[in-house]
Amino acid sequence: MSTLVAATLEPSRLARARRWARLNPSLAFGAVAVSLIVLVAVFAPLLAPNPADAGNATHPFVVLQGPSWSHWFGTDQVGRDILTRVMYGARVSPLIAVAVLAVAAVVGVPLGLVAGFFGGVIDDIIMRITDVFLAVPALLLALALVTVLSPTMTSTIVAISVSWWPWYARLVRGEAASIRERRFIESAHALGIPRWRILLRHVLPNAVTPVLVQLSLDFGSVILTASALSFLGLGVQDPVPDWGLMVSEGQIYFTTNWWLVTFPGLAILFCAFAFNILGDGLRDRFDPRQGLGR
Amino acid sequence: MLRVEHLSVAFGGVTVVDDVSLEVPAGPHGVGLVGESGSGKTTIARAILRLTPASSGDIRLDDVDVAAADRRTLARLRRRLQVVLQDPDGTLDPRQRVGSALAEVLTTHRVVDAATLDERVSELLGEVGLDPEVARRLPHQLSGGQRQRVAIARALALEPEVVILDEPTSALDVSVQAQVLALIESLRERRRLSYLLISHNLAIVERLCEDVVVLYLGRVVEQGPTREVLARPLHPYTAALRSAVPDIVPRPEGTRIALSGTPASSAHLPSGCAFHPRCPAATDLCARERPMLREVEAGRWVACHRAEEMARGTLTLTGQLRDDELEES
Amino acid sequence: MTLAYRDLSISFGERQVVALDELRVESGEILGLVGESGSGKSMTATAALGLAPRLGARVSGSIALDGEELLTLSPAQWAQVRGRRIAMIFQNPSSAFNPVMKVGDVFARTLKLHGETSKDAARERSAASLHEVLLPAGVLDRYPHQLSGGQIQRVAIALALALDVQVLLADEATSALDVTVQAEILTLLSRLKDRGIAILLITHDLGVVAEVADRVAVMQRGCVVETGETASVLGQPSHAYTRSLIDAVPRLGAGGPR
Repeated sequence: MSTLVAATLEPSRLARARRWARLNPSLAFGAVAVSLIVLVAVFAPLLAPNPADAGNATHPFVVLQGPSWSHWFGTDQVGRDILTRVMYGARVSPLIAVAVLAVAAVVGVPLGLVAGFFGGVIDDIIMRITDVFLAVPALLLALALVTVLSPTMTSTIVAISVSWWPWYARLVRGEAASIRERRFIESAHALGIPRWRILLRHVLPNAVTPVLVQLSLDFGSVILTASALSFLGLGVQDPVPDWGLMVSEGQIYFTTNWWLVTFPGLAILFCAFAFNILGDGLRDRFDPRQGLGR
Repeated sequence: MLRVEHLSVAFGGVTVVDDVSLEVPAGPHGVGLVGESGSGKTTIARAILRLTPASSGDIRLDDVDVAAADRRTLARLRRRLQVVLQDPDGTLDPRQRVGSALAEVLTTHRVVDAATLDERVSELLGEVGLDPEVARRLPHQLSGGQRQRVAIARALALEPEVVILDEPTSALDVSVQAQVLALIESLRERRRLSYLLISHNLAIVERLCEDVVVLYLGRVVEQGPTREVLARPLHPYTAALRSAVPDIVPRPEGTRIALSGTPASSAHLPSGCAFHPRCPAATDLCARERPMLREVEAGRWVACHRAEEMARGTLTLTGQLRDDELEES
Repeated sequence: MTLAYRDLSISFGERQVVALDELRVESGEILGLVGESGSGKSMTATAALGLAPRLGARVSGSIALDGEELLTLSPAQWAQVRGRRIAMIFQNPSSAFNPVMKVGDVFARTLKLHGETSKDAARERSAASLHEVLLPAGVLDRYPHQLSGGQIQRVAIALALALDVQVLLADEATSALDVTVQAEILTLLSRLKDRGIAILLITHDLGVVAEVADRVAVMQRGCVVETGETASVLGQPSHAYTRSLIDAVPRLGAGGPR
């Protein structure tokens, strides 16, 4: 692949970008889609037709209106513009996902590294703890926690994080354990490089790639989980424009006013899909057979 | 001087290295460790480097006990005893730039201060025939030969007294092999290098080592000055090994010593002499009694009941290939 | 009986890896195909089995077995040729065998595929081939992991013999073996010449070629730079690359450390 690129590098940046996009379709599409979501989230106040509708505003005279030129996505049961709420929702779900994954990574990665690299008793202890958490399906665990805590955005984040971190610990532990066996680690030992340095400088950077890929893939899953929680009424509450919550609130109107459920639902799908594709693209890109090397 | 005495290494009940003794004196001097798969040569290197625990025996670098060294002593020892491991593709961290890899070794052992670090890295690269610009590259951007040179540079960075070279050229192309061999030769001269060279390639050992130790299934079968051992082997295995090496000018018909059977494994050692099932000169004694390593001539150590006959030249080893018998496992 | 290459060109996308004018292997001779990595020697052999396109390569030119063009064969016709008239043995013999099948089963199944229906006759032929490579018939009841590298290589050769192949392609067949075992396998390959088999021996090791090859072809970057009788090519090489290869090989008896 490097020979192809090197041999036919064109001067124009656009042409180069297009070529790259052709060679990495998933990554390109994912990056574009995710950027779109981020842009909408960041510029929602500027882009949305009725920013006030993202909150408590009610418009009794325009309730349950179907998609029209004034309201592209229609209005909900209290007259709020659904397009606006969907746009503002782009701030909620991804934010939850970022928070959850940050916690999961910060807790799971170091534990996994230590378990995988040192092995023995430490490994056993940490793995037994993760086993306990992994034995319970993530959603159920999150549900249980959220019922104990009061349903807010924070509790949603906490609940999902608690059930998510063990996966990262496991993932990293496997990577670290296999990297530990590799020749260059042995070389480093033979050269007298201290263990802590080997762990941080050599094992960590090499173990982290699958984590990055997993993070992108998980983004979609976390969003779905958070949406499920709010759908069940256990996550964020009205008037926060969370997509899952919107679907939940809209389902009783589904047969007569399909737009209340459909647009937030599509948003969830698109968001999960976008991050998934990005994750796929990242994984392909970092595949040792395709990325570096050949 | 590196001195190994009666080294034995066992894994889970299987003795992989059995009573091996050797000496690597101050340089320039090379000692070759020769053997095929299962001979234990790599295990010996790893035991010396404390990458594998030795079951018994003495390993000393001057008067420092390597086998019993604690963490701190070991760290100091690592400066004096270095290694270039087999497989240059694996010895370098794929995510670390060459310059950084070299610098890391230097800073860990506090060999140079921060100011002279870059200079020293460039110097090292130059010494192994690489452009200083290589420091900025990642391993996969280098050829196999270049990676091997970097591995050598890294081993030499600490100015060790003894270097262990484990199959330094076997993974390389023919023409690149020649370059790396030439490099080792020039380093040997310039730095008065002292090394233990592990190889299955007798020609390389002959070229680079004054002394050679021939191993079979973890035991020393012959030991002595390389030139003499290869010119006049006193053990049938050494003779067979020598005759098995394919040479560009092929040897005359019928002079190759054929070995019957397949090599046993350390897990199922034959009785008596480990080599007897395959030896063209085996006798009943060989099957019953294990020959001990003894000094048959001045400086020539051999573990064979018929070594004297080999010395006299009265032992015939060449002949027809016998029918193969499968080892019962 | 000849395996004849003519104007063979193999490319991966825009990169040409083989550009061969002519190469012939006759029955009863060993042709050593020598080169370093990237010389295209393996692809040249793989092409003779029609497997190059499977790796994504574009192949053009002619490879003829006894005058019969191979590159235009249909898949059904290839099934008659592969394993039956041309066989290949590899560097890593154990990975070429299914680890859950006993050696005897491999023989039986392969023989059956190529027409031998009687179980007893198959077993007899298998035992006979094993005998030719100096392995006892008991090997038929073993699994590949119970055999050593040298033994598996012999089994691979025996399989080719059982099918009565005309051409044997050996791709670095001894590179992964100990030197003493390699010597035995090379002797075995030499004896196959008496069977009238044409052997294409692909290797990077000039010593191996010197030991057993009757003729040698030296490849560099996809082209054959020199070819001829082994003794004369290695003794008086006419191409600079051949000369540099020969000079690069460390030789016994060339002297010790200075």
